[in-house]
Amino acid sequence: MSDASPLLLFVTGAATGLLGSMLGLGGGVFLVPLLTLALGVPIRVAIAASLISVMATAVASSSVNFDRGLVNIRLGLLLEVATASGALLGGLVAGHLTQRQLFLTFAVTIASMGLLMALRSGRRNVIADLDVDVGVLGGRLQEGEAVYAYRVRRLPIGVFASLVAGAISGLLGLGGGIVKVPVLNTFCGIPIRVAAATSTFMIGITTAASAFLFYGRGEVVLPITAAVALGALPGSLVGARISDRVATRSLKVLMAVVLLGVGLRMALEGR
Amino acid sequence: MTGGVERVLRWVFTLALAIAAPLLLAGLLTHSPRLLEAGVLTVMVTPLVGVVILSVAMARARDWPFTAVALVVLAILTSSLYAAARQPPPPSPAMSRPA
Repeated sequence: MSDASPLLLFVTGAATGLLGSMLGLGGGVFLVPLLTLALGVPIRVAIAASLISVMATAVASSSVNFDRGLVNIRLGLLLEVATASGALLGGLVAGHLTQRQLFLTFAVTIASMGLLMALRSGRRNVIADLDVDVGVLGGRLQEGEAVYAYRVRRLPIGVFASLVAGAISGLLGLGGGIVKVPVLNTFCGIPIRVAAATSTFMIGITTAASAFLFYGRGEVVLPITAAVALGALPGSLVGARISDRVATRSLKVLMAVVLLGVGLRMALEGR
Repeated sequence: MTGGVERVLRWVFTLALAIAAPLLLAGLLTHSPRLLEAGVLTVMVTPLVGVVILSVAMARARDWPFTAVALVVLAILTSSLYAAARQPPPPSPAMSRPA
């Protein structure tokens, strides 16, 4: 078990929450490697702590996003059927993998995420004509004084991405937003802010599906989880506030490189 | 879907965090596993409560297809809880939640 002090765990949670929120992620993608590689926390315990930390930040961010009218609840619920199923499956499979297999799976996933982060596009996907029929799943979005409409396209691709995101979440303790948000934005026609807010809302539910399993297996170490989650809450709130003021493009490229490097390091750890 | 359910969810989520954060902090400061567990469980059940609220809101709006969708999500979460309850007890009580 890790000897890291609660204060150090709190700071780790705050830093990863801040970074994750600035990049539109839950922060688990940074938290699990930091806890395992730098602080010596066993990977299963790190995954469980990450799940609950990501859940807490998703709940906090969603309460703000509801106020801004950015969450598409119908779309989120529909996709959540696939995501929660994937998370449940991932959480069950995680209980049967060895530490080495978890490290290697995490390494491959995190390196792929680094590539995805470098490639994500950030399309606007909005329609100025408000009389357009947006269908059951489409919606309207306010940007400053202007109101735009958007339609959902290629839903099966979004459902598949949600299933994959859920499995990753349940298996590795990540939110899965890094898979869902670019797919919803690039392939399904969802504006990036709505995609990110809807994904965040979904992450709270997704992580619950697998967190119960980790809790039942006794892998939720309360002091570690509590310190990390407590740190992640203010970290993610500050990150959300300052995300508009930092050069996110260069930050994303830097983080893509970091993720590739961390993926390699975790692969070495799992050898 | 009206803005009403969003307001309810926002209120419930904010309340849950307002309860969980002090419990976690007090648990860390006093080394109390019970307080820590109460804080962690408060966070964990909040999304479940959110889905229950959405199911009720969809049913009240007579939006039956999405009521069904919300109930399927609720069923998945409930099956996760059921599977968790059937897990063998933790190997080391010192490392995890209190027995």
